[in-house]
Amino acid sequence: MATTTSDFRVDPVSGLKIHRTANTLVKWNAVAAVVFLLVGGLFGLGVALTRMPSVQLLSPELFYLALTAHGLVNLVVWIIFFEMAVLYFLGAHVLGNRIATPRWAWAQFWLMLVGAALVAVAVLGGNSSVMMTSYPPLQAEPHFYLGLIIFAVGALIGCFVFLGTLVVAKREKTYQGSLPLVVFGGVTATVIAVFTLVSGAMILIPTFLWSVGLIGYIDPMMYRVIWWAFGHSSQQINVVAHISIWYLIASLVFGAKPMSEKVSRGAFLLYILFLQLGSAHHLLSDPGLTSAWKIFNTSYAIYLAVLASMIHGLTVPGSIELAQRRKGIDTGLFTWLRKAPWGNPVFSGMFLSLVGFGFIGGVTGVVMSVEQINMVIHNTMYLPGHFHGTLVVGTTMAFMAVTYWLIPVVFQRKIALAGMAKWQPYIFSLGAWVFSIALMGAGTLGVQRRHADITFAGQPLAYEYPEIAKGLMDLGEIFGVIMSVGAVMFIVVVLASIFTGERIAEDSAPWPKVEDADVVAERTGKKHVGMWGMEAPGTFVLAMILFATIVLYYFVNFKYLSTIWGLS
Amino acid sequence: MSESNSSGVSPHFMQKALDNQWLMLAIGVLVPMVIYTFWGLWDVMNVVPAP
Repeated sequence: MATTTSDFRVDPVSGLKIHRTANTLVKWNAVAAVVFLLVGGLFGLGVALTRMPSVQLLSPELFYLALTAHGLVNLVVWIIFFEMAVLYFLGAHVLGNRIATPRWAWAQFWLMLVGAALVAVAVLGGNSSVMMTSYPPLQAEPHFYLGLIIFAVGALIGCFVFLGTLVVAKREKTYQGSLPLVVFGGVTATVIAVFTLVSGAMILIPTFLWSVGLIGYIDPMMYRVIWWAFGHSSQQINVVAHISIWYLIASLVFGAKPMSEKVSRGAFLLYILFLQLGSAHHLLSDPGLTSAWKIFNTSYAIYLAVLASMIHGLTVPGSIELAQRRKGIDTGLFTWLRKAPWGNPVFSGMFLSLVGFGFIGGVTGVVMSVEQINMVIHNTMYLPGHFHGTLVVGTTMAFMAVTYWLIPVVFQRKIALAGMAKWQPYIFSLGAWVFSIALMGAGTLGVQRRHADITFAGQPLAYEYPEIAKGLMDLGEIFGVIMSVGAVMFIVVVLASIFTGERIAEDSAPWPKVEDADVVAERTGKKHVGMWGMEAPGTFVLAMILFATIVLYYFVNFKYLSTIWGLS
Repeated sequence: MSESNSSGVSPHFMQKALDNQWLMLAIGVLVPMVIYTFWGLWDVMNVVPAP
């Protein structure tokens, strides 16, 4: 396909050569994502205010409808639309390339939109409140499954458009050598996405046929095995995408380079091989699966993916520390961190995502994947606490952070309401962190998930949880409201910026120029940085704190397990 | 954002493998499909029915 110079513009700060058609696709996918974030967030607010024992806003019927909508929109639709925007940005903008097959890319967008709309019609109709997992024998209306299938086909097309765009870039030599690390992160996310979507097709197509009466029976156990290859892996795409964004932001804000690109690539390879196997931790209490399958997948293979996460968690702040030190902030352990641009939401959002994902989502994810400990918290509020710790604290915050950088570059608009943008990551993260931790606390005390009323009041199986559990639920949901306020602030800033933000001329710079840390070090002749013989001692200390937290939390949970199973 | 190896030296075979997105796609789908999905389904299919 012939392209002309006018098909591209050059961003004066980043130097990115931006293909206009790709840019339009990035915009549409990103805007759709933000709109769905708003929709899903409103349903989430309804769920939070119902789970609060002192409020109980919605009736049980509306609660299950809202929970189904919240799960699907926020765990699948918002995230995957945004990931499509990220993939097109990585494949086209970062590589200075045109997008392959724009028509197929538009097909991706419209299929995903139509699929999401079909699911919305089914859920809002009130007869498909089967929650995100839609376990048989619960049956939704046929267009619920059909919508999910169409959405997944759209996303699959988007993945192959991205892979095709890489082929075009290589053929047209828009980059030299290996793919940049962030684009390789995009490849990793795409590989996991393809596995996810193939698994989704394997289970949703027969379930759709079951819903229209062409298949008589879906085995619930088989459904759960295959569905979780779709349901959990879809969240692993997010992990890879937001880690790629961490690398991107470290580079954009600090001019940082990975401490070792080979090690970082190796970590992404570990994700490709092992990350999806974490799906097994949803099935640790299922009787039909052997212990060998459970233990191999969760306690062996998944640890290799955890190792990869630890590498990324070390190398991203390490690269920032190194860049700061090379630029002259080379005193003390944490001066580089104290003098980081905390008023810039691109950085603050990214760093809050990194720390929160490691300490809240990461530590708890490792511990709950242990078969024995999983018995303590399985099917409790711990689970929503954990995955809000990964997907909200980690992924959503990272996506919000990069959006603040993307708006001026992609939409050529200045960030409106800059004061609100500055505080938004803190308010959102405060809400999300406490929400996650409180729900995990309640779950550890046994509070069940997926129930409108945790007390089962008036039911034959009524159960009185300790008062502290109810207090934790109230506390968590109050901070859930704060998290919602943070999300609304983000949406207001984004929409205000896109529609009313001051326009940036094509040849003017949307962000201040950031110098490459290596170039600065070369100019100043600064060859050795750091202390104690380490280039990034502050990051080393942070990593040791994380290790100590994991070990401590692990043993605390085993101690707790021993009190539940009173073995003499 | 990246180091480029444009020095003319032939890249290491591991780097060549990582640069091949189709190879990554193949192993990234095949490995979990065998270890997680097929093995899991095999387990479920071999559950002995209650007498």
